[in-house]
Amino acid sequence: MMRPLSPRRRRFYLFALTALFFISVPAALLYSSGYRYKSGFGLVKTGGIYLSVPYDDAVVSMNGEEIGTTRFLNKSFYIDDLAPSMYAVHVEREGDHPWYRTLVVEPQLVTRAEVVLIPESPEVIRLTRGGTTGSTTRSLSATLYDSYLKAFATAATSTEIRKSGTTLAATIVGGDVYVHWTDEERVPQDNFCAKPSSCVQSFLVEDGPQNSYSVSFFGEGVVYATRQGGIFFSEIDVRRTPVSVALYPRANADVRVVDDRLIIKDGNALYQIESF
Amino acid sequence: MLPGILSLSTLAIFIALSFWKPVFAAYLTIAFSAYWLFKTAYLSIHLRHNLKRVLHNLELDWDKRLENISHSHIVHLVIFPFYDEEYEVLAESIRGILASRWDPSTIAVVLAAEERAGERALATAKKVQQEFGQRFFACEVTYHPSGIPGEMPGKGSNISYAAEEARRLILDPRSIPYENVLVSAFDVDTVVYPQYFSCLTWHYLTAENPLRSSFQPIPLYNNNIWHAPILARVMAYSSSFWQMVQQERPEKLATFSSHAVSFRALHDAGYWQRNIVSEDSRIFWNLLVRYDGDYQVVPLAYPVSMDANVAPTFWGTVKNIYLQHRRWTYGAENIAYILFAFLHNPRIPLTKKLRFAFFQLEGFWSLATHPIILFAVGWLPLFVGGDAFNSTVLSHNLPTIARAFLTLAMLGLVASAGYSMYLMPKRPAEYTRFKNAMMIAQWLLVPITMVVFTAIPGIDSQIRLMLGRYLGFWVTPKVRITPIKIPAPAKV
Repeated sequence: MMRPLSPRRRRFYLFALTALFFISVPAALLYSSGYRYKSGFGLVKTGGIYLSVPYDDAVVSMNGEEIGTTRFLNKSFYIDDLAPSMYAVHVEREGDHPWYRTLVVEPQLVTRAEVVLIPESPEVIRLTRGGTTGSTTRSLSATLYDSYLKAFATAATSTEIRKSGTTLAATIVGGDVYVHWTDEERVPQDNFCAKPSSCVQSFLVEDGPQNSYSVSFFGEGVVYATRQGGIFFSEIDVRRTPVSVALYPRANADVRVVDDRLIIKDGNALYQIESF
Repeated sequence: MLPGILSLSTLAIFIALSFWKPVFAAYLTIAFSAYWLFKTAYLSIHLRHNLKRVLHNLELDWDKRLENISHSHIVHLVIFPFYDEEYEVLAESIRGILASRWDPSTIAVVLAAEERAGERALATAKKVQQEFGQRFFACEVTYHPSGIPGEMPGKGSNISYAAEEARRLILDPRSIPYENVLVSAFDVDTVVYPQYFSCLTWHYLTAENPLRSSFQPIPLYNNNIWHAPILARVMAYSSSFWQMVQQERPEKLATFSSHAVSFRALHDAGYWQRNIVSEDSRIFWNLLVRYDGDYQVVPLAYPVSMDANVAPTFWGTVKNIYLQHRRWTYGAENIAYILFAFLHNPRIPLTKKLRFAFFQLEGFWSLATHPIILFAVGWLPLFVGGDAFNSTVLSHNLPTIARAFLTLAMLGLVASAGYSMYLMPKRPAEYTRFKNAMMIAQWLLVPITMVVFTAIPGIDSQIRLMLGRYLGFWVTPKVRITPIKIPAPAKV
């Protein structure tokens, strides 16, 4: 007759599994906190980089080494096991400006970045009040056209936007564009942090010789109009080197964002730059 | 009150830590996932061994083992307390006894009807008695009056009344010593496997102290398993597997559902308690206290077959499973009794008191909290831990590491899926192999069923006990969608 499990065997299983538990839990806790064994250095605290790339077919590299290509269902990369240091991340996709960022990795922290890819030749469409729509023009109803025109009637030297549960502000001071993290209760997002442990409340997005006179939030950055160089888009990121591209390089053009559409006024004409 | 306080405070602490100390909560979640893995492994070892024993015991010739043991003096008294179950349910259980290899002329059957169920229940019992009664040593119908002061309407009061009636009508008139009578207290849908009585008799006659022992078969819910919906099947086998694990840990085993006990012990304890929901487990505690701690449950490692919980509709089944498991987890009501009795009985050894109290508290605490921590609350730090926590490597690694432990623990489920196929009766001809595949795939539902049908009913019961909103006895409806056949497990 078959006997039940003997107390001795049960005790053996209990002790063996308890021992495994007490070995594996500290190991799991250290591992999950970023501790790694590095030959010659012993147990070191590592950090990670989380890269969000909301585009298909973008090639991601770090320190010159390709990490992967984004696909429809795989648009983010978590790179862990990184020794604290600076890492050069590079993302490129055909037809877009390349995206570079120098990211500082600190122990036990994750440095995040969201990639913004801007087309090398953004499509500019002239808007007309009535008429017919062509390949480079778009006919709008009189009401819509007039509402776009009306948006330019007031100055846009400061603006606010609600993003990720907080309010961002952009202002023009002395012709330079500043962005501000307005929520003092919350730690700023990574794009306000030169490194995860060192963040700022505001910083300059445009501080060159050009004089800016209007600014709006658009996509993951700001668009601003300058007296000398026309319309620019700049990514909001304090880390080097944020994307900054000329969208409409004609002096004295102005820009507004109306219903998420990027509208440019050049003289009496209105243009729209297709979203990116 | 104690189980509820323990469970709710555990969950509250976990939730509070997720908000205010998310790093610590994340560490706890990882440690808990690891604990779950090793606990699953430990239980799986017991389950596997018990499965082997069950299959072995099903094959064993118990009659042959009894050949050299005097057993002709043993009388089996089988009590079927029932409410308003239909004739077919009761008749199938009786046919099961008649189809077993034990001589029915040494078996007395009591059909325990209830007055509160009305004349129809009495008529059902009488019909069964008339049809099968003459084949048994005795067959009595008892009619438990309703409204007896101090009783709770339910199985406990009914079966106790039936036991006393059996003494008065069957045992005493024939001067049968109570020590020679083995009582099988069966749920009405209990169908015995062919050698149940032989196996039980052998264990009774060879037990170290038979009059200080209850005998626990394994409840398999095989009567209607092929016809039961997926949730009912998963819950049925989960319950059976838990009992199988407990059979390998007799020091933790209390009586559950259909069980057997000598009439001597039963009479000494005053039968089953009449005013509670969990009379099936309470009788063990009654006897343990009655005999100053000198009492144990002998695991039979031999099954009886019962009905999986099925209602005519899917949502009806969901509701019934919930209510049935709430009733089972209401067994936490025993804890107050145990602690009170232990405090007032100095003759029970202290180590025994501490051990039983710990097992009971830990058991009800873990069934109510562990699934919720593993599959819900444990992940809270990711959502409420705040920006600072979300920027840590720990927050990124928490899902990966915890999932790795839980995925490994899922191997236990894969094993369970395999084990269940060994215990399943042969597939009815009307089903294809697809049904077999579903019997395996159904185990993927376990994380959900653990939360919905174990943890939540457990918390529900414990809160009710805390707040004094006591449950009455809920009778599990027995719905027969198709007639059953005497179950036979698949061959290994």
